[in-house]
Parts: sequence; structure tokens; C-alpha cells
Amino acid sequence: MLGGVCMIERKIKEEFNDSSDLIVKKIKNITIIYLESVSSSDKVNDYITLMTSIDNGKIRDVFDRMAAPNIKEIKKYDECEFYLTNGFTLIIKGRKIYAVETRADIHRSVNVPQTQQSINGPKDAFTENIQINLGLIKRRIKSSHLINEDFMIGRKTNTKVSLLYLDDICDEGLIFKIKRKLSKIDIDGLLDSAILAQLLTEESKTPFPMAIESERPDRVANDLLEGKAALIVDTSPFVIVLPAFFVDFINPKSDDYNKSVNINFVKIIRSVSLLLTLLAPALYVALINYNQETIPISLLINFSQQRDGVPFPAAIEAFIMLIMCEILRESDIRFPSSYGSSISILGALIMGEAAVSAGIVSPIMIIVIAITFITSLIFTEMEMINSLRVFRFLLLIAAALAGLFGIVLAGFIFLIHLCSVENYSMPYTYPLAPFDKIYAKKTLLKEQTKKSKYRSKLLARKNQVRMGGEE
Amino acid sequence: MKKILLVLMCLMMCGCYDYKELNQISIIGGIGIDYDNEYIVSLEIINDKKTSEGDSDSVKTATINGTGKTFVEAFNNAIAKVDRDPYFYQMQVLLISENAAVKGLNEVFDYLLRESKINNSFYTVVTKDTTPQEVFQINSLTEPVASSKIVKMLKDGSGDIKFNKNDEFDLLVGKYVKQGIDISLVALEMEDGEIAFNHMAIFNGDSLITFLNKDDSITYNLLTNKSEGIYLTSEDNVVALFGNKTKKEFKDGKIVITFTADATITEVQDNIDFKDLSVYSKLSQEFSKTMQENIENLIDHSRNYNADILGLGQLIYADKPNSYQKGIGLKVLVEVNASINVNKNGITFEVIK
Repeated sequence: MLGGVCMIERKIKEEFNDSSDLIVKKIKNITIIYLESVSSSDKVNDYITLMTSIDNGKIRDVFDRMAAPNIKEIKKYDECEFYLTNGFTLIIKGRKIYAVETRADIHRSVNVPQTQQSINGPKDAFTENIQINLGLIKRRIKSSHLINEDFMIGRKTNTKVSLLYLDDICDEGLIFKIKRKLSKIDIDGLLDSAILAQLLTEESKTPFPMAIESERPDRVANDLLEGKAALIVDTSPFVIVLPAFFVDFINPKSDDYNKSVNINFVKIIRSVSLLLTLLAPALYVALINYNQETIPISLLINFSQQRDGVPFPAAIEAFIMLIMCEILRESDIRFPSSYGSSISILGALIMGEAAVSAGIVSPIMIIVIAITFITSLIFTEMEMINSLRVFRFLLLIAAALAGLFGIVLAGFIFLIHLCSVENYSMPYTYPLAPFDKIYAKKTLLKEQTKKSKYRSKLLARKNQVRMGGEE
Repeated sequence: MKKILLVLMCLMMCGCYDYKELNQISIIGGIGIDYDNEYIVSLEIINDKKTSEGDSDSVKTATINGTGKTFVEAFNNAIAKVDRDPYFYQMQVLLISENAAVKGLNEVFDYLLRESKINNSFYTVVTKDTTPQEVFQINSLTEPVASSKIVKMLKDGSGDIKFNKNDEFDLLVGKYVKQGIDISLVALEMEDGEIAFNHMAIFNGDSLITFLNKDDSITYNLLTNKSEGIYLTSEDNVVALFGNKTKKEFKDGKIVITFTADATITEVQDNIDFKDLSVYSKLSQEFSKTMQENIENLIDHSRNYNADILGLGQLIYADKPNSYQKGIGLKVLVEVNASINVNKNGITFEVIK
């Protein structure tokens, strides 16, 4: 039961420890309480102060005529804190409390994607505001079947998380599992969707990314139509899509906006790049140190001349160069972009020109490392690049110890690991193992849009037809 | 964890087996064998040192010799003089001097086949009137490594004498130990400081008997190779042969050799009217006859030295093993059918008068 005006006012003041942004105002017999930091004072002025000061009548009438779009009556005292922190203004009169939405717009406008650019396709990207993000998706899927369920996560942050799925396509089992995991999360603060993704998947099991983090609404809408579920976290410009498979990270979804014949060439090149970025340094070391007979003699003489005078074994040389390049890349990301060019020039000069003429590394090693890095940067997902690095080093160590035989062994470790990973009881190597032609033609290759009539068997069991036939 | 441990053990326990750093090996391009009261083995070492700044592309080779009573002793004496680890997997050519070939190939072939650090895909060449050391020391502008030069000339060059597909070392040894066939190897000569190939060395058993003359050598190459554009001369006319096919079979107690080829006219002396189609059949007949004589000559000449280089005995052995006797390939009746179809006249119908 609510107490009197003075009591509520005193209680709130106590709870917020007389926080400096807590404004308590008394107009006649009405008390207005709001948090200055999250509320817009213009709205407070327009909706409430003006009305209450003019009107002499009963409070009921005031609310009937108030222009605010969102007015709620509070029944329990416990709700006061929630509404206040969310930018509502509390109006207390007698034993009744009303909450009027006067939220301040603390967000930037919709921008172009920063990390997942594409030449064609929509140019809008998610922002830090959950309402805008939801709107960006709902503008694309105008269906009552698009369900969004809200959760509050974070004991202190009370962050709003919205689970989106199409209830006539998405598998209920997946939604049930996500909801169960969400309800188990007990954390003091949730500041970004990446943390939620780590909580929802098993982070320790694999270095590979287990959830798609996208800043493109068109990609999320595409995944929802495919039968996946999306999670929007307030204050995060990245939306999580679950479940994710290995092949999802090789090609961006914006490939779909190109003709299949043209884009399949690029897609094959990306798959080759994946192999190259994993294997290039390992293969070079194995061939140079163990299997020289596989190199044609003219090339071998060339390699041999270039390596003449280099003090380190080829494997150590490769390690030094790989680690130097990682340092260079890291410094390039962290350093303010206005200084960025100087780092690149310094890096290129030291790595390329000076190191070779000083005889510390061979020119062919520079080529191998450059191929490795350029091919790794094809993938947009940072987590993917970093996880491939783990296996690149593993392959390199194996190649340094046992040549091509070692590469085969380490290749087996890589494959065994990849095949043992499961994501929401779905195999991570799907659609390669188990093989699914439909999903493979949506990720690894692109089918003609007219022929792409079905959804994948694993994700959308109940509703597989997406074109023609019955919806 | 157990899995990782197992794999780590696999990697660690083999302990970098066969590890060779590239600048700790000496690449051997070819081996030469000479015999002069004792074996002389020469190794062609490809020098991979950077000579100077901006001149890193020039490759130089060095020759190291070792002598010994046996081939193995000489070979080991030679590799003992190499300062780095000698690397034989890229070896391209084995040069055997005339004297060493007369002495016999058994010892050499046996060692090279048995030794694991030598690959089996090099080619064997006999040097005529010169020694392997001299051959290794020639300096060509386009190909500084003599071994590579020899192999390139005999594989991709446009000479009349070339390697055939059975000349790689392991296949050659296969032929060497087979019943009813004698091996023949390309002979290398020096003409004014340049390498030339004009003859085939023919063997009886394991030792060299003689060199075939140039015409017979070319005929032998036509019969065993798919060589294109080899010139055939008859009286005053010359044609180039293309698409040659040879079929050898044992039928009714005799060997039938059928040779067919197309030919393009390259040089004619007479006033021939190419618009007259009967000219072609006349030329075809003429060249078929010439080719038939050439093949018969080749067989006669090689039989004079008791060498069955076309493997006629082997055909009988494959067909009727019971009737095979040693040397039957030298006695059996041979029927030669050569047909050359002159059907092209180059790019002009006219003859310059």
C-alpha cells in the first residue's frame, strides 16, 4: 500500500541518497519527481509543469487532458525506481502515483555501417538505442509473426534485452534454450552484446565465434527469415544472431545483392584465402626445411640464394615476422587514426625494406607473411581472424617440428576440433558436415535467387518453403 | 588434454627428423662417372651464394672430384670434400663416360638404386670423347647449370635425339633388368665447346658396345619417341614427320613392325606441281620406302653388335615365354611396314625456280 506524499518523497530521496540530478518540485498539492540526467526538461515542462500550473481542477482531469503519449499509474512503490531511472517523471498526488514518459534522447542518429561495409545493399546501421534498432528490423519485416520478448539483465544496469524471432519459422526448441540461458544469467552489468553472446554460448570450448554480431539490419532480417533468432541489447550497436556456423563468417550476407555467377568467383576466392591464411607460413617452412625435393630446382636455387646469410632458421624467422605483424596490426587499431599513416609507413619500411637489406629476414618470407595477412583480412569478423591465428601458429609449430607430416597432423587437430564444436545442439560445421545443399548454397556459394526456394532443414524444420508453394 | 598430449608426443618424438635448413645444404645438379684405372666421380655443385649486391641472380657451379677403386669409394671421397650437407634429391643427370660405360653399369646402378638419399627421377647420358668434368665446366649464358641444360635440351629442345619416356632412372633400371631388351642411352659430345647430341650409345648386357651412327640414332628415336618435326631425306627431297606411331607385334613366328606418320614437305629440288594430287602419293611411296630401309638398316646394324635395342626378344617373351631363348631377338624374322603419308606442303603451293 502506498503511503502519503511526504512519505513517498522521503523514501525516494533516501534511496537515491539525495543524488544531485534528482529533482523534486512541488506545484500546489502536486509533487513532481524526475531524474534530470535521463529526462528531457523540455518534455517535463511541456507535458506536466504547464498543465498542472494552469489547471485548478482534480488530478483525474489533468491526466485526461495531458498531451504525453505514455502515462502509467503505479500500484507498487518498488516500481518507482525503475520508472525514474528510465526517464519517467513521477507525479504524486494524495495516495496516487502516475509515471509520465519524459525520456531524453541520448543517442546518435542512424549511420552507415562502420565495420561491415558493402558496396550495394542498404546503408543503415544499428545504433546504441534499442528502440531504433527494433524499428530498423520491424521496418523490414512487417509481420505479426515477428515476436519480440523483452528481458531485463544486469542487477545494477538493468539493461533491456529483446529476443526476436519469427514464430512460424523458428524452431521452438531453440527459443526455449535461449530463454532458459537468458533466465540463468545473473550478472551485475551488461554493457555490450558481445558479453551477452559469450554468456549465451560456451566461450571456453573454442576460439571460433559462436554468434554472429552484425551491425547491418538487412543481415539480421535475412537471418530471421532463415529461422534464426536475434538478440538486441540496449546500448549496443551490434545485434547478436544465434545460432552461428563456421561458414557464416566466411562470406558476408551482402553477397546476395550480386549476381550469382559473378559473386561465386569471389566466394571461391574467399574459401581459398581461408586455406592460405591458415597454411601459407606452415607450408613454406615445411617445404623449405623438410621437403625441398618438391620445389623445382630453379625455384629452390632462388630460395636458397635469398636465404643466404639469414641468421635464423626459417621457422624462427616466420615466428618473428608473424608476431611483428600482429604487433603492427594491433598498434594500427589502437592508435588514433590521425597518426595511423605514420605507423603504416614505419611498419612497411622496417618490415619490408630495412629488414631484408639488413639480412635479418629473406624477401620470400616477407611475401609469405604478406600473403598470410592480406588473406586473413578478407574476413570481416575480427573474432574469426583471431581464431584462425591460433590454428595458424599451431600449424606452423607442427610444420617446424615435422614438415608436411606435421601439417597433416595439425590439420587433423583443426578438423577434429571444428567437428566437435556444437552450437545450440547444432553442429558447427553445418552445412558441410552434415551436408546440406540448401544452406551451403546460401553461404559458401550463391544460388540463383529464383532457384533458392527453400529454407535450411536444420533451422526451419516446420516451414521450409520460402518461395512458391504455400506459405 | 589427452588428445593434445598424444599429438604433441607424435610431433616431439620424431625429433625434427630429416630437418635441413636451406642454407646448410649443397644442391647437387648432377653426378659424373669416369674410369681411368680407378673410378673418378665428379659432383656438380650449384653455388647459391649471393655474389654481390644487385647480382644475386647469377648462379655459378663448381665441380668436385673424388677417386677410388670402387664406385662407392670414389663417390664417398667426392662427397667428403663438400663443405655442406650434399643434397641429391634435385639431381637431374648422371653422366657416364665412355670408359666407365665399357667397364659396366651394374655396380653404379646398384648403388644409386639402393641409396635412399638419391632420388630416382634423373636421366642417364653417356659422354662420347669427353669426360663428365669437362661437361660440368661449360658455362652457358642461358642456363648456367650444365645438368639442367642437358636435361632441358633433351626434354624440351628441338633436336632430333631426345629422351623417351622410359629414360628416367627407375624406368631405365626396369628396362635394364628385363629379359630380351638391351638399353640404349643418349650420347653427349662436345662440338666447339657446346653440347651436342648426335649418337645413341648401345649396350649389350651391362657394358657399352658402340655408338650408332646419326641416321640410325634418328631412326631409333622415331621408333621409340613421339618426336615431332624430325626431317627425313630421300634423294633430293626433305619432309618433316609428324604424328608418328610405331606398332610392334609378334605374329606367326615373326615380328611385324608397323610405322606410320604424316609428313610435310619442307624442301624439294625438282619442279613439282603441288596442285597435281598424284605428286603426293608419289612422294609418299618414295619416303615410305626410305623409311623402311632406314628401319631395316637400324636392325641390321644393332644385330651386328649383338644388341637388341628395340626389345624384339622381349616381345617374344611376353607372347610365348616358353619359346623364348636368350638371343632370340637377334635371330627372329622381322617384317617392316613403313607408310608415310605426305599430305601437307607447307604454306605455299609454289616452288621457287
